[in-house]
Amino acid sequence: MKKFFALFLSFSLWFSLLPLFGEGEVVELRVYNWEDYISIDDGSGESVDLIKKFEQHCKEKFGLNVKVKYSTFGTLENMYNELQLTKTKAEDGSYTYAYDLVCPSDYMLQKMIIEGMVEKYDYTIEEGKLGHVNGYYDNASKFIVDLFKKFGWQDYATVYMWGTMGYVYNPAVFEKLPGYKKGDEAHWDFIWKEYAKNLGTIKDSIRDTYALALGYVYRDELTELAKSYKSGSLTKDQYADKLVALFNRADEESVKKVEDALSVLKENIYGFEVDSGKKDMATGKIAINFAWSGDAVYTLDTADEDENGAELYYAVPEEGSNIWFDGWVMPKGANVPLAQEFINFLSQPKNAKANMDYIGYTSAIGGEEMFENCVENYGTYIMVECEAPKEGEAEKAEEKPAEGEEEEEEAKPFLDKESGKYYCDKYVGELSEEELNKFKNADGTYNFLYPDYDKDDNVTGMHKEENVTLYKNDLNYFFANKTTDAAEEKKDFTVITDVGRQCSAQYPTEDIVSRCAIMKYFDDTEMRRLNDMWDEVKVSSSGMSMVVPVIIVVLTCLVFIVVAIMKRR
Amino acid sequence: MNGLKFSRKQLGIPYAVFLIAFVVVPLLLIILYAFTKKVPADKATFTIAGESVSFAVSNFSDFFSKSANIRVLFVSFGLAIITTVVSLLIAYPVAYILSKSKFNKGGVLLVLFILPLWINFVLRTAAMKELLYFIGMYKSNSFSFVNTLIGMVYDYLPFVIMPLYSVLVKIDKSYAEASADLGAKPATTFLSVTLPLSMPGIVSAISMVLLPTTTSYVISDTLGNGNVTIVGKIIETQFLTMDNWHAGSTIALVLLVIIFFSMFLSGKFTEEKDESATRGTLW
Repeated sequence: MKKFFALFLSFSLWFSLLPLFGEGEVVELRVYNWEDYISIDDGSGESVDLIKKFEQHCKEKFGLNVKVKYSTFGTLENMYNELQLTKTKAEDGSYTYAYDLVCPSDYMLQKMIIEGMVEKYDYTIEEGKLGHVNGYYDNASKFIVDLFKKFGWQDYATVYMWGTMGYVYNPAVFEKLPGYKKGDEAHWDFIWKEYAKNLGTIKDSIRDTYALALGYVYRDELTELAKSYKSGSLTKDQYADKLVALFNRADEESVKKVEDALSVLKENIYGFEVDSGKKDMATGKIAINFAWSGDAVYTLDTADEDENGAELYYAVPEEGSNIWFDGWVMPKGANVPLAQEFINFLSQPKNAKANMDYIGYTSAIGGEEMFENCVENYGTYIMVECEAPKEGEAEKAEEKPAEGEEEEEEAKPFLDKESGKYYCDKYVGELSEEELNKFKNADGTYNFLYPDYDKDDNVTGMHKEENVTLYKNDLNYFFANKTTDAAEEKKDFTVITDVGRQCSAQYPTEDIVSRCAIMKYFDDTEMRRLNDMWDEVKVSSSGMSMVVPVIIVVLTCLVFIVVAIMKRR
Repeated sequence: MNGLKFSRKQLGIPYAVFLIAFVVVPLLLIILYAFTKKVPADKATFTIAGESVSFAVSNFSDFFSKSANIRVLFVSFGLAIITTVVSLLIAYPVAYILSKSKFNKGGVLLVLFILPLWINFVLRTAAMKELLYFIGMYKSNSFSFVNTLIGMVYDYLPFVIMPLYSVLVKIDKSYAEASADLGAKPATTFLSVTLPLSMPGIVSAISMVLLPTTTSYVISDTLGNGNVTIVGKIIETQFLTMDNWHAGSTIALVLLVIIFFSMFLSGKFTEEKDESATRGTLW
């Protein structure tokens, strides 16, 4: 019945024709995910089509003909409505939904669990059988798994991507502005600052912007909390609970405070954006954007690829912020083993890597392979002197590699024409202490030669930068999840990278994460309160100045009409 | 062959079905949703689409008791009226010249003015944003309203030119000649002959622009950077973010009533005109 009404109200027809072609029995897996949220073949030759690979995987390993029916949504509310509209009622009064696997974000995931819309994960499936979900638990970061256990969601959901909330900003713009101090960007009031007028955008969505304003309104309280945690008067758990409580306040007083803060902010910003913020940052139209870390990485990458693009940075407010995540849930009536197999498949490090490279978001998968990917993509590489290539090899290197040839071999050394020396690019972490000391200044900073890359990652030149500080991003809390054999050497997951760039956006330090809360689901009353507040903020008070011209125009029209009619008579 | 002959009534059946299915029933559903609200299952009078509801007028009192809602109506209609007036001021001379022009043989010039309509609406709006950015209209967020207005006028101009043109082109030249022969100056001729005769075109243009501009929030979101909120956006929020179809339908119904009222007024005005002129309206 619900479908019937929706048809008419939306003036559109949705046919769910499910043609079953092909030989043999075909099992369908209906996946419902965010737009652009899985690696597909984009024609560049670098990306992997994970959906096709999964179908192959099922065929090879289990002899199953699987067809993935993959559909996408743009907002969580759309997804929720779609699920509600397409559900069917079974005889016993329970509902069956039209999808096997859905990927909602934090608050919607909680809502779906609370409303009993999702199936429990089946952890009893044996190894080697379809749907043995340990692929996820073997590979996922312990940090993420523990987080889910703490909130009791591990029975219903697994994490796909996660991240933090913060500001993407363009330091080149701010350095010129009077009043800006370095470090301002790592505070909630950054976008409220007077010098940031008309430079920033915030999200045109109640929930995200509410979180931003809460952080701003309670920034002093947050700082206090962080202090007492550092001094030891609050335990880690107590601190985390307080943070969660603070970021989920929706009482009238908080909402009123947020309304006042947002009314001020509205006058200070460039505008509200839905999806244009990423592009506007990269092209330099705006200089601050409040964003999810995943979008931040995408923005930074886009700006880097653009020749005229700015060098952008990402900062999480020091007072404390939010962690977001997108998780896989199986709506009631789902094909549990097959859905779990899909999660299993996505959790394999090489697939998680393909996904991360394509989407730019941070996968929940930890471990060595993922860490090395992070180093390779975003670690600090410098130029060091190295041996000249052997005769013949240099000539060979001049030639373009033949088509189809793997570029696995060592990168060719770069010849510096001025000094006549050969240089190779090398990850700083691979250098020994001794080698590093050669670049060290008296004050502990370094002078490095940085490689310049073309778009195929070949070294085309180098430039010098002085007084560089090395930044070590300790990610042991995230990557060191595997119970390594005692014999195996314990690996240190610390990446040397540029602070505030892609790597620190993708993988925040433990310090930052400990200051982050998780957003919870607001009930109907709270949501209505938020929405009323949002309407007040969005509908400008300058609207009242419109009243006068409107009344004048309407009255003139009326008078004109009346006079014209009278004349006619 | 005789078997294929249909009476007029039979030929009308598909249209009647179409109208009932896509106009009458949806309208009734909007009214139904507007006058009901979600209640706990034990207090429900009946259920629509699996949701227990009971009749209530509280949707309307909720709507009108919030000052933001009243303001958004003023902003929307203010924007809509200004858009309509500005569009008319621009379009009338254009339509007038086109209807007289010797260059407009075969309607080539007219097509040029209508051409933007054939390009995707979102694309047009995005292009307009780039253009406005280029000339510096985004230096301050206080320009948001003006930018939105420019976008609205640009997008709806063809809808104003078309009806005006089709009315103006049908006005018999001899009226104007007679007026000139009787000693009227060109200005007088225009004001007391051409303008009244073209009134049906103006009314039809207004009806094509006024309602859409109160609700086309894509333009205000894109060009106004989300700083201008109009009533269409509020309806969208109620449906999509709040999942409250009752409140959303209520706002849609309030809008509909206001529009009906204004159409009724302008309809009164054109009734007085003679038949031949009214026939000239395009839509």
